[in-house]
Amino acid sequence: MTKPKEYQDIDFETRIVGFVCNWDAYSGVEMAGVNRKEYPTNVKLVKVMCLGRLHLGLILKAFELGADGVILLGCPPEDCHYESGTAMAKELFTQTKKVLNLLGIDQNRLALVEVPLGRGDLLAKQVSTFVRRVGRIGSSPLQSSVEAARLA
Amino acid sequence: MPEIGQIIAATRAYSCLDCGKCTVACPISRYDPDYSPRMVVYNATYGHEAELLRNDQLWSCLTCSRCEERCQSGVRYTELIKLLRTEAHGLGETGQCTHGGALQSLMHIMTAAHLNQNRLGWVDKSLKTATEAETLYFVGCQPYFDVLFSDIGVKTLGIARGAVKLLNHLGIVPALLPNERCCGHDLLWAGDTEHFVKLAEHNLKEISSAKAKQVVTTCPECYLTLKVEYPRYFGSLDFEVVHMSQLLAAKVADGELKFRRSAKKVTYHDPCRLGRFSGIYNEPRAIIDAIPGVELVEMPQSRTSALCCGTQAWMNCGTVNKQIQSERLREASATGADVLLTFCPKCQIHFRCAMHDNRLGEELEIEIEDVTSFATKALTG
Ligand code: SF4
Ligand code: SF4
Ligand code: SF4
Repeated sequence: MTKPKEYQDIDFETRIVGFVCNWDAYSGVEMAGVNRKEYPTNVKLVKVMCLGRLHLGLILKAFELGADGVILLGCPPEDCHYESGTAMAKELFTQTKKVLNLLGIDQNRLALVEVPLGRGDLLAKQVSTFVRRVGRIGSSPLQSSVEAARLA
Repeated sequence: MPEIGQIIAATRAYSCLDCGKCTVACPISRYDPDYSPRMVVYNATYGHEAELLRNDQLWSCLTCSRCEERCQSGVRYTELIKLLRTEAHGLGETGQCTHGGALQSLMHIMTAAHLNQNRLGWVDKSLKTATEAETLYFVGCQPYFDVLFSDIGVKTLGIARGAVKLLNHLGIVPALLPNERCCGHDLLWAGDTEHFVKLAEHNLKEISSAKAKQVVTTCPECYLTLKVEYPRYFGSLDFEVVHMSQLLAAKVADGELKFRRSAKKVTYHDPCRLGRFSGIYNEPRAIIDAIPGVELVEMPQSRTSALCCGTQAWMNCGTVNKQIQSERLREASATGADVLLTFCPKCQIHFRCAMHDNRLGEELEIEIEDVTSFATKALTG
């Protein structure tokens, strides 16, 4: 695969799942497309109506299936379409980090970031930074078990 | 599918007299008229496989064994359910996971070969523990429960701390496993034997490397799983499995364990795995009785007829389950007890959840505590 120059240092094998809020954050995804702001293709985005709709089970499922990192792309709190969504996402973020820590999975494999309305540039930047960060940590300790299960 | 025939034979389903006592005893049937253990046995004996295996109700049974306790024909109902679920799981069927499947994912993740958990953060300086010892305390998933259920005030690690404190008090320094996995109880009872076996393998390896001869648990599900299910898959164990209630009751009987006064009126909820599955009814009561000043008032449904805490294996939890829990909590309050004692971290979680009901909350409110923590507080010196 040929990579854009600015992403030469990114390991495209890193498996990243991104949960994106339908409102501000997803408008960032669309604007990144419109303005041709490239970001690494190894991020699989899952659109949800609000990050407040996520729960621990969904994030853990991504790790269970072999994700090396999970990024939660939400909105600035004052823009939340459901008032309390971003606060709930923050609580979930804290709770999930505690669970990851208990499991011995590096807490930096999880990130929560705000993407203001229409900021495709920022979205691309945040995502790339996260992919780099996870790439440095390396592949998930669960990966070998996932591979084994797949081959079995 | 020939397996069904074997399952029926193994669980004595053919001996069913169609009397319906099981359905009368069943707490689910009481609130859900469509649910009938008698019909499950009927469908099994008449070979109605589709009705059995492709049926949402298969996953609703609490596996509490109240029906089995009543059945005069010796039909092993809970074993029947477990084996049918294993068959159904093979067909891709499953129950409705509670909590967005978080607990199922946790259990699956714990099957990973290379895990380096940080599960012993609760061990403070006052507790004496070891990496290798004759006696091992099997903590169970309590460190995880306290994070998952912090919103409903679950603090099961108090049980773990209490357990080590009690053991230390008795002159025992227990080994703890830094990489203990879930015992696998809930996967096994959900029919997922594949992941269950992986968890069991990890635990057996860990226990053996800690050189333990005796494994003590505070969770009745861990107790039953290690003691009864592991040998079914791996042959006899080279360690003994003991529930904390047995250990403490023996020490009380020997006069080695004494408590100071505590003027409390309590009632005791028999967990299914401890009571009906293991026949441990007297030991918890002997510990409670050994605390001077404590008055134990029994609920009408106790010992062999104890009502279940209302849910199982993190599946199919809904209004019917909440009704069962409400019934139990009301029954506990009606005894006039200050505290509802139980001997299982999960009973405590499910009851606390029921008390969190917005509408009924206050009506169902009662202090709830594990006998382990209750006894720890009454330790002398
Ligand atoms: S109680 Fe036993 S004999 Fe009676 S219907 Fe139920 S399973 Fe059959
Ligand atoms: S095990 Fe309990 S819930 Fe299941 S059928 Fe029997 S009495 Fe009902
Ligand atoms: S009763 Fe237990 S299984 Fe049911 S929702 Fe509450 S905590 Fe979950």
